[in-house]
Amino acid sequence: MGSRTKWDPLGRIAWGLRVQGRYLRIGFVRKSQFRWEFVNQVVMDVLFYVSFVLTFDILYGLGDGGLTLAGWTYEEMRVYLGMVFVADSLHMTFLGQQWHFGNDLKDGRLDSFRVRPGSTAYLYFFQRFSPEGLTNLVLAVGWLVYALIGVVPEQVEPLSLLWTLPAALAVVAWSQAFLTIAYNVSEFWLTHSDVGHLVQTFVSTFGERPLEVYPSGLTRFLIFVLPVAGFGWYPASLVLGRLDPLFAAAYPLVLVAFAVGVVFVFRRGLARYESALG
Amino acid sequence: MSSAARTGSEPPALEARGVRKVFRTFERAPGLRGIFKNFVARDSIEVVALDGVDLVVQRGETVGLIGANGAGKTTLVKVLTGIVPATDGVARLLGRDSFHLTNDEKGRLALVMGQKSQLWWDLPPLDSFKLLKEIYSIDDATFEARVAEYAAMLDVEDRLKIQLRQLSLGQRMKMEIVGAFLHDPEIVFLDEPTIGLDLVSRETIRQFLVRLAETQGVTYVLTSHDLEDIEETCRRIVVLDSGRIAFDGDLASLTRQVTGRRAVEVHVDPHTPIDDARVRAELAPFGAEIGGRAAGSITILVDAERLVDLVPRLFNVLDVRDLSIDRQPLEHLVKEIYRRSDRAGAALAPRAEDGREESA
Amino acid sequence: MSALAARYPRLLGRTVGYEFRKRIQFRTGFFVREVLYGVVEPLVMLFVYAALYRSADAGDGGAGASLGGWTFDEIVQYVAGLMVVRKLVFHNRGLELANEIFEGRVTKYLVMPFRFFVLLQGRFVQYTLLQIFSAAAVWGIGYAAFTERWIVPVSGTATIQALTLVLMGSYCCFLLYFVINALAFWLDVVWSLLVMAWFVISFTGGALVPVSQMPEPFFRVFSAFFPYWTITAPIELLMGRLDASDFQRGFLVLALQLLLLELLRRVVWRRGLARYVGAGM
Repeated sequence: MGSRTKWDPLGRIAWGLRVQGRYLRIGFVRKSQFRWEFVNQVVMDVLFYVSFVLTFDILYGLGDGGLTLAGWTYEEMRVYLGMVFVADSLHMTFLGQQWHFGNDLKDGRLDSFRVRPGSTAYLYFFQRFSPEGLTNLVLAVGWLVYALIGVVPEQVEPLSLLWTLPAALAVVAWSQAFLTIAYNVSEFWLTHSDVGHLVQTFVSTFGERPLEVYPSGLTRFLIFVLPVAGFGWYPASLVLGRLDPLFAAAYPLVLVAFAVGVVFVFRRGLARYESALG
Repeated sequence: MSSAARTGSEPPALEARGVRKVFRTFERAPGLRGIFKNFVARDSIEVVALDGVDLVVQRGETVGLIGANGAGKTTLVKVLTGIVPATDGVARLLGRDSFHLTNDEKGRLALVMGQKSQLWWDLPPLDSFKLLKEIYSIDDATFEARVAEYAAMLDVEDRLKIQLRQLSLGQRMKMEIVGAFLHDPEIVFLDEPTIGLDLVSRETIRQFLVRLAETQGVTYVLTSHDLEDIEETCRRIVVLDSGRIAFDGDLASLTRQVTGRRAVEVHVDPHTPIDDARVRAELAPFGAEIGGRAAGSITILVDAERLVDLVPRLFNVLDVRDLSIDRQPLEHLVKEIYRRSDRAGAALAPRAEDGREESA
Repeated sequence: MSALAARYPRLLGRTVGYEFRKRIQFRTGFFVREVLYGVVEPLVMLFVYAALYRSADAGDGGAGASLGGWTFDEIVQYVAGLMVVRKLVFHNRGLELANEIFEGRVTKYLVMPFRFFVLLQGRFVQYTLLQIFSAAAVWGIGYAAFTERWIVPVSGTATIQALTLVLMGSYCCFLLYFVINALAFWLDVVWSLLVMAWFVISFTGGALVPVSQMPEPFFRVFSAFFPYWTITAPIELLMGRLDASDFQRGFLVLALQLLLLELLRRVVWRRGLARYVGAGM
C-alpha cells in the first residue's frame, strides 16, 4: 500500500503560498511581454467601476437627497460598491483561468493538473495571476477607503474598522474563491454549456446590489444557499455595523459549509472528467 | 531513491484488473434536419475504449505500449495515472486505486504527453521548471543539479531561457521530458513523446530514457506508433487492439513470432505491365506474397530468413529500378497479432505474470 | 457583376444555415448563450428601481412618484422593453473573428472565391433571425404573465420604427465589433476592448438607466451616438414617449454612423490583411 499523506495543514498552506508565489512571478513575466494587454485590462475594469459609480450617482441623484436603496444611503452604497470592486479585482487577479474552464474540460487540458501532488482545483483555478488585476485591486481598495471616509466617524467607529475591515476582506476573498469554483462545477455535467458563466452572471449581478432590494425568498437564497452575500452584502454590512452581532459572528460558518460542499461536488465532478479521447 | 529501495515486497508499480473504460458520446446526424433531430432527441452511443485489460507492471520495468490509433493506449495511461476513473475493474498505482492517489503518490509519478504541452507556452522552460520545483517541493541544489544534468543529456542546455513557443518541436519535447523527471519520479508515463520528431531528437530521447531506467531504476510506460522507440527503450511490449491486450511479452518473443516478416518494396518501370500470375508463381516457393500494388511499385511480404534467396529472383520477373526492404509496418503487425490470436482463441503467449518476473 | 450579385444571397443563405448549425450543436449552451442572453440584468434593474421608488414615496409603494420624468409603471415597461430589445442587439461575443485571425484560420477563406465578410454577415443574419424569435418569445411570455404592466407597442407603425432602429443599431454594433476584432492584426489581445465597448454601449445606450432619465448633459451627449438610438429610443417609441420626428432623427443618426463604421471597417480590414501572416502564436 502506498504511503498516506501526513496531515500537515501548515505545511500545505506554505506549499500553496510557494506555488502562488511562482504563479505570481509567472504572471509578471508574461505581462511584461504583453504590455498592451496590461493597460487594456486595467482600463476595462476602471470603465466597469466608473459605469457602476455613475449609475448609482444618477439613481440617487433622481431624488432630492433623501433616496435610499432598501435602507442603504448613498454613502453606504459607496462602501457596498467598494466591496464589490475589491471582489471583482480579486477575481481578476487570481481566478481569471475560470473563463477557460469549460473549454479546457472539453479539450482535456485538466490532465496535467490531475497528476500533480496538490489540489486540482487550486492548481487549475489559481494558475493565472494577473498583474492588471492587482493594479485594479489597488484602485478598488482606494475607492473602498475613500467610501469609508464618508461614513467615519458619523456612522462607523474608526477603531472598529481595525478588525471589521480585515475580516470583511478575508470573507470577500474566501467567498469569491469558492463561488468561482461553484459556478464552474456544472461544466462537468453539462460540457461546453456556459451554464457556469450564466449562473455567475446571474448571481454576481444579483450580488452587486444590496440584497434587501429583492423579494425575501431570493434574498435568503443569496445569503444562505448560493452565498453571494459573502462578496458584497455581508462584508459591507459588517464594516458599516448594519448586522446583528450574533448573525455577524455566525455567518462565516455558512460560508465554510458552502466551501465544503463545493469541494465535495468538485471531486464528484472530477469522476465525470473524460479528458479528450485520444 | 535507489533502484533497490524500489523493489522488494512492495506492491507492483502498476496493476490493472479487468479494466474497462466506456465513454458515452452522441451520434450526430448530418444536415439541417439531423441537427434539429439531435436538438430534440439525441442518440447516445457507447465507445468502449478499454475492454477488460489485465496488466501488472513491476517496479523497474520498462514497458512499451503499442497499437493503432484508437487502440486504447492513451486511455489506459489516463486510467492508470488516475486522470480518468475506470468504468469497471481495478486500476492501481503503487498499490492504491489510481483515481484516489494521495499527494505523496502523485509526487512519485510523472506524465509526458506528446500532443499536449504541460509547460507554459509563452515562457522560457526554466520558468516552468521553477513552478514544478515548488509544486514538487524540490530543494534548490537538487533542482539546479537536475536541470543542468538532464538538459545536458538532452542537448538543450542552451535553450532553457528561450520562450517555449520559439523552440523547435524536438526541443519542446525534450523540455517536457526534463520537466517530467525533475522530481525524480519512480513511475513515468510517456504518451507518444517522439511523435513528429526528427531522427536525431528521437535518438537523444531514447538514450535519455534508457540511461534513466538503468541508473535510477525508473519504471516507465511508453506509448508509441514507432516500433523503433519501443525496441530501443523497452524490454517488455504490450500490444493493444480495440481496447484489449493482444500481446504481452518481451521483444525477442514478439520478433520471433511476428516481426520476422519483411516488406520488400520494388520500384519498377511504370510503363511495363506486371504479370501478376507469373510473379505469384515465382514467389510461391519462398512463402512470399504480394502485400500491395501502386503505380510503379509492388510490395512483397516475406519471412526474413527467405529474403536473401528471394531478392535475386525478383530481377527475373520484374523490371526492377530500385528496391527497399523494411520491417513489416506496425499496422500490419498488429493485424497479424490479432489474426493469430483470434485463430488461437487467445492473445499470443506469453501473457501471464511469468513473463513479467523475467523482465523485472 | 450580375452573377456575383446573384450568388451573394445564395452564399449568405448558406452561411446563415452553417452558423445556425454551429450554434445549436450543444443544447444547454444554446439555451444559455442564445435564449437566456440579456434577461438577467434588466430583472435586477427592476428590483433596484422598485426599492428606489418605494423610498421616494413610501406612502403608496412608489406607484405615484416620478423620478427624472419616469413613473414606476413606465420604468416597469421600460425594463420589459429592455429585455426584448437587448436580445436583438448583436453582442460582443458573436463574431469570434479575433481568434480566427490569431490562429491563422482566416487563411482558408481568403483563397476561396468569395468575400470573407459575407461569412461574418451570415453570422449577423443568423443571430438576428434567431433573436427575433427569442425576443418574440420573451415578449409573449411576459405579456401572458404580466398583461397589465408589460410593454405593449402603442401602434404598428411604432413597432416597425422601433424594430428598424434596433436592427440598424445592431448592425452598427456588428460593424464596431468587427473593427475591434480586426485589431487582432496588430494587437495580441482584443477581448478586453470588446468588453469595454459593451460597457460603453450599455451605459450610453440605456441598458443600466434610461438615457432620458439621466441628467441633461449626459442625455445631450449620448443622444448623438448610435447606442442611445439602439436601446433607449426604440423602447420609448414602443411606449409612445417618442414620435415619428424622433424616429426620423434617429434614422439619420444611425444611417450616418453606420456609413462611417462601414468605411472604417473597410480601411481596417484592408490594412490588417496587409499585415496578416497566416498563423498565430
